[in-house]
Amino acid sequence: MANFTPRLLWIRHNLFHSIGIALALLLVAASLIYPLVSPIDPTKQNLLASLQNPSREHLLGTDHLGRDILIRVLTAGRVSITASFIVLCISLILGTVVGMLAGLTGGVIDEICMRLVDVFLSFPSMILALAMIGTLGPGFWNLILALAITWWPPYARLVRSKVLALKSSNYIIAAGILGASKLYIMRKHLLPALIGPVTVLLSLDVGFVILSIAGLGFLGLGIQPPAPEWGTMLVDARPFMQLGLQMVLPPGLAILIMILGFNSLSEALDEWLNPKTNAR
Amino acid sequence: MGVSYLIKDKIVFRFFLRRTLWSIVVLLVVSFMSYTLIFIAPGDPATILIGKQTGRFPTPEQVAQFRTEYGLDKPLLVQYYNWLKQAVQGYLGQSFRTGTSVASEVRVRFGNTLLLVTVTMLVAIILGIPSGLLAAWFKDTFLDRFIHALSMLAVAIPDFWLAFLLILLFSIVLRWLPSHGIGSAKHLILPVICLGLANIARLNRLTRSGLVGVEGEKYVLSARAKGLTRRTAWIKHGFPNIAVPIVTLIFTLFSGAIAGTIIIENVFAWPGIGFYFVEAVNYRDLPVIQAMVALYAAVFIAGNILADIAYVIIDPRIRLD
Repeated sequence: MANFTPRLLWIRHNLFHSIGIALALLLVAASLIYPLVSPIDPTKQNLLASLQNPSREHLLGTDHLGRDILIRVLTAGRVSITASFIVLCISLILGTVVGMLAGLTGGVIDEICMRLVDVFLSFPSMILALAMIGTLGPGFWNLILALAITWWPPYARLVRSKVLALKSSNYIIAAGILGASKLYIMRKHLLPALIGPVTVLLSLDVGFVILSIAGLGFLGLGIQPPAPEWGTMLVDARPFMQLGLQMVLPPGLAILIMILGFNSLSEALDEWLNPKTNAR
Repeated sequence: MGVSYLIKDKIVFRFFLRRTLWSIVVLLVVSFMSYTLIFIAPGDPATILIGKQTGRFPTPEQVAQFRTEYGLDKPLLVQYYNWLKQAVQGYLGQSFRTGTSVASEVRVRFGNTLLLVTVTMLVAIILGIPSGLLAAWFKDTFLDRFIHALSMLAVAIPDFWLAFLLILLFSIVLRWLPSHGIGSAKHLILPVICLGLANIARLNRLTRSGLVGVEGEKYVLSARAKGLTRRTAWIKHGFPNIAVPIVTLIFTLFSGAIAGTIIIENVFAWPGIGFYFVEAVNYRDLPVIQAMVALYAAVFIAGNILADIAYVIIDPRIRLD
């Protein structure tokens, strides 16, 4: 990737990926910026202007309560992106700490940490998240807590496996012989080596955390109305589907774009970071 | 020969013994975790529930009576032990809300969920693996890229959104298929599509990348150079090499599909355990939530054990540790 031409070539060869990544980044940017600069209130109702088709005033039309759909989709995106960012940060920190601890110490601590990870991985995260929300009640922070608690184990497993592989590599052993402390090796050699694989997993997970948030919202257990949320917007749309697609299409397409884009980004990063193993 | 088989049988037996013991530990941990949820719940469940049943704020005597009745006045470990003792005998507790026993509800509904998931997986296998073979055979052609793009879309479409679009098209506009409920084969079509699409795509991707990977191996290339046809190379080297990862994926997807039914059953009002679970979560019906988490854990662990057995059967080189 020394000069620019190979990148252009990559875009040509992976047109579908490139479009997905571009759309997702556009959606992220719009969600983060537009609700701040737009004067429209996403929760303001106007029953006289309900279920309108797209117009110059309402670019994506209005919903059953006369609320502007564009601002609702983007505000919902803002909330989803923020929530998934927090969830992934917690998962990353927790996973890295547990994985490092397990990989570096070994023995009983390693065994305990990894068995705990196994317990979490032995069944889908959705069920535990649902059980936690059922107990704690729905809400933004309960949603974050429920998702973060169920999302960290793959990070712990990934970090541990990388640490184990690196621990016996020559340059780490050499650093140890030269008198580098464990903390120094961790900071200078292990953490930088982890950035690549962890980033691939993180970018893959962005879409799926957003899907989980929408799924929980769809079941009425995520972010609560009147705050806009993609899942709840879809539930609202169901009775009005026959009358027009303006309520059904935008939230679903938004989720689709996020998953597609971040999956593509993850694949592209993986290819870029491991050119040898993926060269086929 | 005979001796080595005996040794292998012994190792296999010890392996399964260890896995089973470990599964029991996992089940205990998970059920305990879900059991302790009741203690972190905000608000007193006894007060909330009596309030819901009688419609007015309960007196302290009523709360105390309720607690004694459900054993909520005992220490956590004693309560858990009592629950576990009954659970082992098949009694999973009873709903705070309706008073019906969880076990009897599950008995009625579990078959419905299993039917949905099994049909979904069969469809996914029937469509996913052949389409992967096709993509690998025509690697780097338009067909391959087309299948790749389709499968990326299939993974990214939110299943509940797809469900709405399909209901709109096939139930409301065309009136070909029922939009909800259970009863005939027709009722299965839409839920199976929604639940299965992503699974088809994942099987397709793995089949393709596995076969393309094997074809790039040096021993396969040299065999091809010596005149082995592509078809024989696939049969001799390709299929045996992709069998294990595909079986792994099928079991993973099976677990995923059971979790996926939680949302899909709600969209299509399919009377399975996912529908029941969400209902319990919505009403914060703690005994049902606890029992369902334990039950789900048991189902997934059973799936993991089945996967282990499948590995030993299909791959003689499998390392048992």
